[in-house]
Amino acid sequence: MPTEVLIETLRDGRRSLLWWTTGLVALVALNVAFYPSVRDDPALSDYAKDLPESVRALFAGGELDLASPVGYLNSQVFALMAPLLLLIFSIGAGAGAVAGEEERGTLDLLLAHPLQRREYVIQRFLALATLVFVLVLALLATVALGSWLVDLEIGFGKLVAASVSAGLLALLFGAIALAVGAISPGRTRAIAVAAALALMAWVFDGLGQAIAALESWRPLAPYYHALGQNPLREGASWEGWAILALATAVFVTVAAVGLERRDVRQ
Amino acid sequence: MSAPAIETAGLTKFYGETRGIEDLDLRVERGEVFGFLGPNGAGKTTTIRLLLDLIRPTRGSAAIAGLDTHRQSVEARRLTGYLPGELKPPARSTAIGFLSYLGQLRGGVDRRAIGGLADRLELDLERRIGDLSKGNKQKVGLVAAFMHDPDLLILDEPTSGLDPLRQRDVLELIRERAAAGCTVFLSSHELDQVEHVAGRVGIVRDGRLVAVEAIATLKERALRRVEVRLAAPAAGAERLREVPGVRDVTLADDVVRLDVEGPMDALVKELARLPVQTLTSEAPELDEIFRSYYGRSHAD
Repeated sequence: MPTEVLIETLRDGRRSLLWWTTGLVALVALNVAFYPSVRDDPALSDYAKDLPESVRALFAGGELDLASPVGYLNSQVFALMAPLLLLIFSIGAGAGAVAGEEERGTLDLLLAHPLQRREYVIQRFLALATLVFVLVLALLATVALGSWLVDLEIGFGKLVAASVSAGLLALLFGAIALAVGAISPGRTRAIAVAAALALMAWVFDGLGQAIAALESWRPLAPYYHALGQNPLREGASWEGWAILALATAVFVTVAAVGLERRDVRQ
Repeated sequence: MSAPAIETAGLTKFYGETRGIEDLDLRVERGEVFGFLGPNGAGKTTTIRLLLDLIRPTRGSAAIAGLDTHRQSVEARRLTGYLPGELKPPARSTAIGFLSYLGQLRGGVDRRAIGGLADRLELDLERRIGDLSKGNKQKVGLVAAFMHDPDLLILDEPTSGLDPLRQRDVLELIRERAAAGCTVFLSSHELDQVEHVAGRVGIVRDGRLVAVEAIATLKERALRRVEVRLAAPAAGAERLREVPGVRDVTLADDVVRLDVEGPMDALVKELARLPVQTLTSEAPELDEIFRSYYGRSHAD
């Protein structure tokens, strides 16, 4: 397996990765740092209890007790903020890998070299996975260190489970953006389609928590397999991870086949 | 016998309803420098991108050194150096960074080959590509096409965007590679960009190949526009109308304008009788060559 495209993509992406890591670490650290004041002020926690269930499901991971370690970390980091940042990064990079390079005019020259298109797609995806993995590590390190500093007692294994889940979710939608851009040109559309699907999955899972009739349909949305089952409390869902990984592999395959079959724009 | 460098059979590409190229049957021999001429939008770039498998034919096929350009595209592209018509290298990389990457895609290229080409073209390899002028970006593309010493060079308008001096360097580079046995397929919309390097040219127009000729033959058949300024109006000028190959003569006082097709010998001998002050002869535009060629081949 050739690795030139993988290495070049990582080299090219390192500066942007540095900024993303800095931003993610800063935001997560800030949120974790406020834990002691929330824990010691019951009024803030009571406020969450009065929220409608659907709102709580969407923005606080369904947590009732924001003063509890799991409730706090879910509502402040893992329910929305961390997956959102990872999703934005991953979808942007996924759309950039084929559609973005094509719009910049570089894909034409690269693919005129002795390089299989499917190899190009797979190497770009592996680069994306590596970058997302680095962000997940940064996320994990920050919550682990921060939790320890503010006595937020959650097992390290649970933190790993939640961080990896968020990463796998982001990777899936990155693969979707990659596939959309590989099937037909257009970076903006690739981002729009992937972002719209991610938003729908998120809303669908939130509604599923709140509305009993939708509960049994929740597994249809990828969000359920990543964070919908509360990995921070329950630990890793191997089945959920396998489903996410499989879906990601399907979209990477679609991307590889899609690009193989179409004309490349100049 | 080894397969020709390039061979296409009924190669056709439509973009929806729009014709890119239709029923192209072309054969370029190994070691040949072949000029692919035509006005902008005639189908030159479409043909080149088909050869590189960047776009897929509506029907027909093409082969490079006997390798099908689609089914064996990686092998075919390994033998090929390509300069796109509109090169857009990534702005953030340095020239050397980008060229090394492209070299890696070919399994590694000798750094000295890159350095040597950059020296010849006077390209600063350490500069960021985003800071380079259009002509210097073109040089990056030229180095990328030449650096791995390919068997076949496919160059889409290689001299566009370069100043005349640099154009000469590029043509010289092409001549050298050709002398070393490399096949060169270069497109242009101007005959004078290829006439000094190419042995044969194909003329393409509106998506169809209308003629394949040796440069020498083409120029022989081509019209040249001649303007003669006489020292004084001369009655003998009227006789120029009778000279074989001469047409469209206009006389205005002491200026004679005319077109001449083929050898100019008879015209020159007739002019010798006149008090010629100045004589200018313009190389014909490609379109005029095409028209004269097209007109002739129908009249034949």
